[in-house]
Amino acid sequence: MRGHPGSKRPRSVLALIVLAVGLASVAAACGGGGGSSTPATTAAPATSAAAPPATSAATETGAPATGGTETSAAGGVPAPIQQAGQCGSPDGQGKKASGTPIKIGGIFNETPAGDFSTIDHETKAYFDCVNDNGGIAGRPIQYISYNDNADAQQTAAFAKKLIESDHVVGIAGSTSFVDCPVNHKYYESKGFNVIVAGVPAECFSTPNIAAVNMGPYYSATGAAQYLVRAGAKSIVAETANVPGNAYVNTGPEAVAKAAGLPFHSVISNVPITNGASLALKLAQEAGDGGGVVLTHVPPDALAILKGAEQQGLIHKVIWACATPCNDNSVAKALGSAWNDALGTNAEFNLIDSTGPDNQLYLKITQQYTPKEPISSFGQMGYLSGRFMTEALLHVAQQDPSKLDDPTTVNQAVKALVIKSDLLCHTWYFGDLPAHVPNDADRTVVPKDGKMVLKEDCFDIAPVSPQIQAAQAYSKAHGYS
Amino acid sequence: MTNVLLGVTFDDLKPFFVLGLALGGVFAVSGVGIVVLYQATGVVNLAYGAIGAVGAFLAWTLINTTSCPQPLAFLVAVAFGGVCNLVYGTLFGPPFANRDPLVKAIATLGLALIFLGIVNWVWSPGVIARSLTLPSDQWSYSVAGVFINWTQIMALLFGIAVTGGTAIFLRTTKLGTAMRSLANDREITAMLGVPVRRVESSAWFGSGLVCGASGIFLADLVALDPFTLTFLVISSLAAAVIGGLKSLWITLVAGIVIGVIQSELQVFDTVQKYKDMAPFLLAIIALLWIGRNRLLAVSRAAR
Repeated sequence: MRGHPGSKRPRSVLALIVLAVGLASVAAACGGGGGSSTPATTAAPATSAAAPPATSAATETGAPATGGTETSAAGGVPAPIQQAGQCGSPDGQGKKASGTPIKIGGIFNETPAGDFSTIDHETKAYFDCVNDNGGIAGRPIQYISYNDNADAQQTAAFAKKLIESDHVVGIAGSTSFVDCPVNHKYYESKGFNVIVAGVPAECFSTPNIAAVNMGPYYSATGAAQYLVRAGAKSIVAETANVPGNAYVNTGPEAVAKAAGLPFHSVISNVPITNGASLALKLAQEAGDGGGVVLTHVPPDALAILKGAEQQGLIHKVIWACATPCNDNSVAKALGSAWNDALGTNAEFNLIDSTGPDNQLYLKITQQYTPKEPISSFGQMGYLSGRFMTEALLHVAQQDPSKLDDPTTVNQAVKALVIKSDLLCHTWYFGDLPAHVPNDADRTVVPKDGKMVLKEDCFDIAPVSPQIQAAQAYSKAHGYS
Repeated sequence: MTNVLLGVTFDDLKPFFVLGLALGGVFAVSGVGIVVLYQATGVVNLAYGAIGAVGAFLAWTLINTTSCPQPLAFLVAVAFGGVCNLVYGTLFGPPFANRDPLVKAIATLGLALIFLGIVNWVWSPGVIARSLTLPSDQWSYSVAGVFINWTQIMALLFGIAVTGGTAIFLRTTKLGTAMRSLANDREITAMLGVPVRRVESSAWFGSGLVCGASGIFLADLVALDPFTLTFLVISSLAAAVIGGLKSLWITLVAGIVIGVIQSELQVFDTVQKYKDMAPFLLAIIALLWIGRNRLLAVSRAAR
C-alpha cells in the first residue's frame, strides 16, 4: 500500500505507543507512590528495647472529652480566650476585622495518593470566621497556603517562600507527605513552631512541629489495639505505598508483638485497582478470626472493603481501619452489610457530636466552605485554625504590636495549652524534643450509613519513645 | 500441595485466577474499543478511561441525588460516552486527520486531563468515598474458593460479545467494510466515494458507547475514582498494543491475560508491589516479539 498513512503507521505507532505508555506510566506513578521525588525519611519511631511493653489492652481513660473550652483553669490548663462555640475574641463578635492582615502560612498536598485540601480549606474557613468576628486586635488573618504536590523540591521552596517572601508570622494547617521530613530543620532554624495535621513520622518526632491529629502510625496502632480487644487471633496491617508511609505498619506490629499475636505487613500501590484480590490476600494472611488494619484515604479503603464484601469476607476476619475511614461517606457507601463490622480508630469526636467545638466546626463549614465534606479531615483543619487563633489572641492580649513578630507569635504557639471537645485529652505544644499531644482516641463503627461510637477514649499504646515521653509529660502537667 | 513458586501452591493461585478473568474481560472490552477506533481513524484514544469515569460519576449522581431509576442512569452513562466521543471526533478529527498518530494521541491525553480536572472539581473524589453498585452484584457463585458475581461474569461475557460482534460487524456490514477500508488507506477510500467523515463519526460514536459501558463495569469492579478509572486505560492500551492495534481476538486474549497476571501477582509478597508494571512488561515483550523478524532482517543485512 503506497502513499497512505497506513504504511507509515507501524514505525510511528511504535513510537506513539511507547510515548503514550511512558506518559501514562509517569502519570500513574504520581498516584502509585514509591520512588517519587522525596528525600529519605528519618527512621520511623521505633520501640525502644528498654521501654515498657506496649499495652495489649489499652487503658481507658474513663474521662469523656470535656464539653468545650473551659472558662476557668483546671488541672494546669489555662483559661482560653476564645469562648465555647465562638471563633475569635469575645470582644470582637459580629465585628468585621480590617487593616493590615496578619499572615499565617500553610502547605498541603492535593494528589491522587492523598488529597488533604479539605484540611487547608477548613483552616482558612476558621480564619474567615475570626475575621468576621473582630479578627485579632481588629486585624484580619490572611491565610497563605500552597499545594506542594507531594514534591520535595516544591515543599522546600514553599516553606522558604512563606517565611522569607510572604513574611508569615506563623504556620498552621499544613498537611503534606513531604513537608515535615523536608522542612522540619528549616522551621527549627527559623524558630517557627508549626501546627500541622501530620502524616509522616517527622510530624511526630521533631521539636518544632506538633500535630492536632495523631497521624496514621498511631491511628493504626489504636486500630490494632481494638483488634486485640476484639479477640483477633493475628494482625495484618496494610497501608499505601506513598512517601513517608513506610513506618505506619510498625505501630500495629508492636501491638501484635506485645499481645503475642502473629503479624504480617502489606504495602500496596495506590490507587487500589483490584480491591477484591487484595482483600482476599489480606484475609488469607490473617486467617479465620484474624484481624486486618487498613490505613488508607477513604476511596482506597472503600475499594478494599467493597472487595471484601464481594468475596464474603466481612465476618471471616475482624476489620479495622485508621482514622480516614471515620467518615460518614464511607459508612454510607459501605451500607448496612458492614454494620458494626469495621472498627475505625477515631482521632476526634464523632462528626455529629454535640460539643461546642464540633457544633462550631459544622457551622463554620456550612457558612464558609459548604462544598467540603464533614469529616475528620475537616475537624483537623478546624483545630489547626482554632489553636493558631488562640496563640495570636494571647499575643494580642499582651502586646498587639508584636503580632507581626514571628518570634513572639511562635513562642505563643509553643506555650499553647488548650482543651477541645473534639479531643480526648488537652492539646499542648510544649517544650519537648517531639510532640504527640493527641495521644488518646476512640473506636467508631458504621451503622446504617453513619459512624457511631463503639469504644470511648483510650490511650494509644506506648509503642514509641516519643509517645511514651508525651504521655509522661501530659500526665505530669495534668493534661490527660 | 505442589509448590509452584516461592512457597505458593496452585490452590493459592486458583482464586486469583478467577478474579483476574473478570477484570481482564473489562480490559479486553476497552482494548477492543481502542483498536476499532484506531483502525478507523488512526487515533489512539487516551481519554478512554476518563470519559468512562465521567459517565460513571454521572450515573452515581443520578442514582443517589435524583429519582432516576438505575437502568436509565447507566444508559445515560453509556450514551454520554458515545456522545462525548462523537463530539470530540467531529470537532477535532478533521483538523488532526493528517497529523502524526502521536499528535492525535496527545490531543486525547489533553481531553483526559480536562475531564480529570472536571471530575475533581465537581465531585471532590479524593475526600468523599463513593461506590457504584450494579444490581447484578447481588447474585454470586462460589468458584475455586472465590465468589464470582454476575457483574464479573457479565464483564467477561461482554468482552467476548463485543469482540465477536465487532469482528462480524467489520466483516459483514457496509459500514464495517468502509471502516476496514479506511484503516487500509484513507485517501483511496475517500476517492472511492466513501463518506469518510461519516464513517469516522460512526467509529467514534461506537467506540464511545463501549467506553461508557466499560466505565460502568470498572467503577463497579474496581472503584469509582477518576484517577483509577482514567489510568486503567494503560492496561487496555497494553492489550491493544499486544494485538498490534489490529487483531480484535488477540486484544481480547491479551486483556484477559493482563487481568489474570495482575491478579495472580497479588499472591506473591515479594512482587505484589510491582503488579501494576505487568501491562507495560507484557506490551514490551509483545513489541519485541512482533518486531523480531525485522530485527533479524536488519542484523542479517548488517552482516
